[in-house]
Amino acid sequence: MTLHGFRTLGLGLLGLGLSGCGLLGYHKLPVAPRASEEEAARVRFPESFDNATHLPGPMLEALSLALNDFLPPGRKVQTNARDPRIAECLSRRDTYETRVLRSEDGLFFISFIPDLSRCGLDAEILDGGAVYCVDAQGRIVAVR
Amino acid sequence: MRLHLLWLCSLLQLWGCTTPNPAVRVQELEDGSLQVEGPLAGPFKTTEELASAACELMTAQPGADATHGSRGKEYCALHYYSEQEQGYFLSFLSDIGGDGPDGRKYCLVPRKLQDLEHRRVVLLGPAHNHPHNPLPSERDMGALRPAGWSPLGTSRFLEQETGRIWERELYIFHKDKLGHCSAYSYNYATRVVSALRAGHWIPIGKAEGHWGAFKAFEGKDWLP
Repeated sequence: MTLHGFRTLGLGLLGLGLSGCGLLGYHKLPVAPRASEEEAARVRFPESFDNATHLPGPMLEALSLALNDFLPPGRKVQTNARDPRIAECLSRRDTYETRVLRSEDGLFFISFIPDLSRCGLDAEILDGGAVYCVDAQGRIVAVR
Repeated sequence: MRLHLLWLCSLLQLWGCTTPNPAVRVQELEDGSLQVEGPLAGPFKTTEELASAACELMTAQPGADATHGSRGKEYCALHYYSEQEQGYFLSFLSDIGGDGPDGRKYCLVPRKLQDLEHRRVVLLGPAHNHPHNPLPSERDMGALRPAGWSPLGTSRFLEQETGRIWERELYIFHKDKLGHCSAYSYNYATRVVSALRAGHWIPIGKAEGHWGAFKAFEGKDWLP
């Protein structure tokens, strides 16, 4: 291999290291932005969580597993459309209406259905969601 | 010599990857919507004949059947009726869609048709294939959509010229690893789901509610 070839290979490996870790399944968790101290001081925490949505621990874990597989942090939906808006919308977690169901035999079913109107889009896509089955051992058993 | 062969093989592979699919004729319009040309197939006397032919045709496309797993592809098309020919047609296909990180697929429903062979047509609904499983998704069955909605306008409408009342439907096709093609339809107006069996549409259930939950009719199921 020539010097030029080594230089090209080196640049390629550098690029892979800089941006390609996602391709190897490694994702850095994004750090949530923090509001200012002034805004924080104005928050009134609830006295009780009586009307809250309760997620038992195992259910939360199943949901986390499914969500991280369905839409890993930093991973994007790929499209061959010239207009990227739908793919960008589908790459956002807040696009999805999500439901979790625990079956009698202890399996968790998590349904993700995209709602493009969240992004102000009127387009209709077919499919684009998924239903996960996660067991109590933290395994993804099946996906539809 | 070996290097020349390597380049030749790479070029041939690249050529194979980029050869246009003759069944795909779609245009992305300025507003981001899709227009497909027509017809690709037809005329068919009945929607059963249309669906049967469309199932084989669409699942024969690259990546469209169950053998491709996570590397599969969804295609979308429109089915429509021509009063001129008294028959049903399938448009050319659109391959515009995408892939999620977990391998899930979607296709974007074309909203417009350009059929230069027929003066006036009635758009009856979209058709698409599922490379991964045969059943309609909740989204296919109207989840998050208001009653009476369809992607092509009102789900039930009167055609003024003929006085005929039409109901729009979505077709879902799947070819399994054994080569068996299955077809389902979802009626946007009644929300009834039907399965194509032995050349006939058999109503098997209905989608209900905001989430498109499927309730099977008594004695019926997804499989015969």
